[in-house]
Amino acid sequence: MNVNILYLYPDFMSLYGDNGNVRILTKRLEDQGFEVSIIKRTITDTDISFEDVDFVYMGSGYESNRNLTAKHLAQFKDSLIKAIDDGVPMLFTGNSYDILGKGITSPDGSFVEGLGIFNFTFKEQLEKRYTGDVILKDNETGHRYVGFVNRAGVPEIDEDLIFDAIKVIGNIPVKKDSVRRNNLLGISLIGPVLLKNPRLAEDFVKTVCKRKGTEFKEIDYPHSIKSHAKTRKALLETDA
Amino acid sequence: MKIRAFTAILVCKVVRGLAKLFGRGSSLPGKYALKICPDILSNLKLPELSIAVTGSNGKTSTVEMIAHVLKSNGLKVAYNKEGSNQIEGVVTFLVGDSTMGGKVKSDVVLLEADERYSRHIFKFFHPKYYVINNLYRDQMTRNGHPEFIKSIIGQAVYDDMTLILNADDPLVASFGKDRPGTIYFGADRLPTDKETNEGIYDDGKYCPICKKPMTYEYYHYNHIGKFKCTGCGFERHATDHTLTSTKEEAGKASITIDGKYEIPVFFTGIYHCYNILAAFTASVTSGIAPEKAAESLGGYILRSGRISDFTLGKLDGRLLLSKHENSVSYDRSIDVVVSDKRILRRPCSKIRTCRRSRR
Repeated sequence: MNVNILYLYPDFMSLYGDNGNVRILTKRLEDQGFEVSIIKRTITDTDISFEDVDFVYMGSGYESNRNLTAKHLAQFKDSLIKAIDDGVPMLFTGNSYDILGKGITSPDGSFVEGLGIFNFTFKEQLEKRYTGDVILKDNETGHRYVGFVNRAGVPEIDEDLIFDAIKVIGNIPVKKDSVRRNNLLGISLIGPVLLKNPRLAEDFVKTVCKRKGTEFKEIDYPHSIKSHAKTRKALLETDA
Repeated sequence: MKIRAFTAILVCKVVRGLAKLFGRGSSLPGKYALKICPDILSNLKLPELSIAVTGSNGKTSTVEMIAHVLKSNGLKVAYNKEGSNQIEGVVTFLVGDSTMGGKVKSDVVLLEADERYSRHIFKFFHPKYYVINNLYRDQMTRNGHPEFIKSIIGQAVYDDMTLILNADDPLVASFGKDRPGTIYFGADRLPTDKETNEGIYDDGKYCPICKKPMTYEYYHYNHIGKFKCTGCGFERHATDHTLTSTKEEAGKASITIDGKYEIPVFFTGIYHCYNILAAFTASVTSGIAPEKAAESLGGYILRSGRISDFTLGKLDGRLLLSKHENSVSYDRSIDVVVSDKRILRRPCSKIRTCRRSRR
C-alpha cells in the first residue's frame, strides 16, 4: 500500500538537518510494509494540495523565509484546514509552526500575519538567538520530549500552547511550547526530532496505520530508544 | 584626554605586564580597562590604516597572512595574534600597543573580528577596510544561522568603511549592494567546479536579497560560485582580484592570481585559496605592490604549511584542521583527502578528527 508524505518547503525551510524527520518516518513506514512517496512542494509552487496526503512535514528556516511561507501557504489554507480536520497527521518543527498561529511580531515592529489556526503569537528580536536543550512535557499523555531549540522569538500570546517546558538548559525564556489539533503537532524542537523521540515517531506511524486500515506491527528501534532515555536522563541531571 | 581613559590605559598596561610576568596571556587587562572606561576604544588614536577580517572560516589564517605581507614590506603591524577577538581581547592588544596618551604605535591595526562581536567593537572605531570572506552554516546551534549572522555583521558595517568582499558567496556579496567603491575578490571557473550543487542542502538556492530562485553557471563548492538571481538580477560582481588558475603537478602546487602572480602553495584546497586571495586583495588594497604581496605570501605559506605535515613511520601525513559543527569546512577537508593521489594509492583506514577549542 502506498503512503504519501507531503514535505513542505524542503529547500526553503531546512536548517538543522530537519529532513531527518522525513527519512525516519519513511524508514518506519517502510518497515510497516508501506511504499512511501515523498511529494515535495516549495515556495515557487503555485499549487499545494493536502488531498490524498497521509502525512505532512515542515522544518525550520530563516525567519525571513518562514514569513514568506506564511503568505504562500495562506493560499492553500482551506485545503490544509480540511486535512487537519480529517485527522491527517502533520508535524511542524522548529519555527515553522509559528505560521499556524495568529502571527509574528518582527524585530522591526511589523506584524506578519499567520494562518490563524491557533491563537498564539510570537515576538522576535535580532539581538541574540534563544538556544538550548529542553524537555517538553505533554500533560495530557505524560510523555516527555527532548531536543534543542534555536529561536529568534518567544511567545507573546501563549494561548493554545500545551506542553510545559519542564527543563531548559540555555537562555530560552519559555514555559510553554507546542500546539496540537487532531493529529497535527507543532513543536519548537529542531533537527531530527523523530529520531530523538522514538515515541513521537511511533505515534505518527500508528496514526498512519489506523487511517490506512492496516494493523500496526510492533517493531523495536533499540538505538533510538536508548539514545532518547540517555539524553533525557542527562538533561534531567544537568543543572539549568 | 579624559582622566578615566588615562587610568584605564594605565591599569590595562600594568595588568598586562603582570599577566605576562606570570606567563599568562589573556583578555583580563582589557576587561579591567573596560570597567574603568567603557568607551576606551574611542579614546585611542588609531593609525590611518586599519583592517578587520571576518567570516565563518579562515579568519585567523587570513589575518596571519595579511600581517606577514605587511610586516615583510616594512610596516609595523598590531594584531590580535592570540585570536582574542571579543571586545576585551581587542582592548588588551590595542592598549598594549599604544602610548600612555592612547596613540597606537604601529603603522597598521589588523583585527580578526568575530562575526558576533564586531558590532560591539565597531561602535567605538571603524576599520578602514572590512574583509568578509565567507558565511557558512557554522556552529549554528550556538551562533545562529547564516542570515542571522549576516544581519549582526550588518550592524557593524558603517558608511565610512570600504568593504572587501568575496564575490562568489552571495550572502557575503550582498553586503556590497548600493555600496560603490566596494572591492571584490573571487575565483574564475576552475577544473574542479561543478554545475550542480550535490550537497544535502543548498544555501544558494534562493536570493539573499529578494528570495527568488537563483541559478548558477558553476559552483566552486557549496553555495560558492557564479550565481544570478532570476528575480532581482543580483549576480556575481566583477572582481578586482581573481584566482585565475590552480596547478598541482609533480608534487608541486601553485595558484595564480590575476593571471600573472604565481604563488607556491602546499595544496590547492579551495578554501585555502580563498584565504590567500583575501589576504592578497587586502594587502594590495592597502598599498602593497601586487608582486611584493605575492612574493611574501608564497614564502609564508611554504614556511607555515610545513607545520601541518608530519611523518609517521614510513608514511607521510598531513594535518587538516576543521572546526566541528561546520559541514562546509569538513567537506572541504574531505575533498582535499579524496583528491590527493597519494592517498588513493594507499587508502588510510581512519580519518581522525580533533576539536579545536576557541576562546
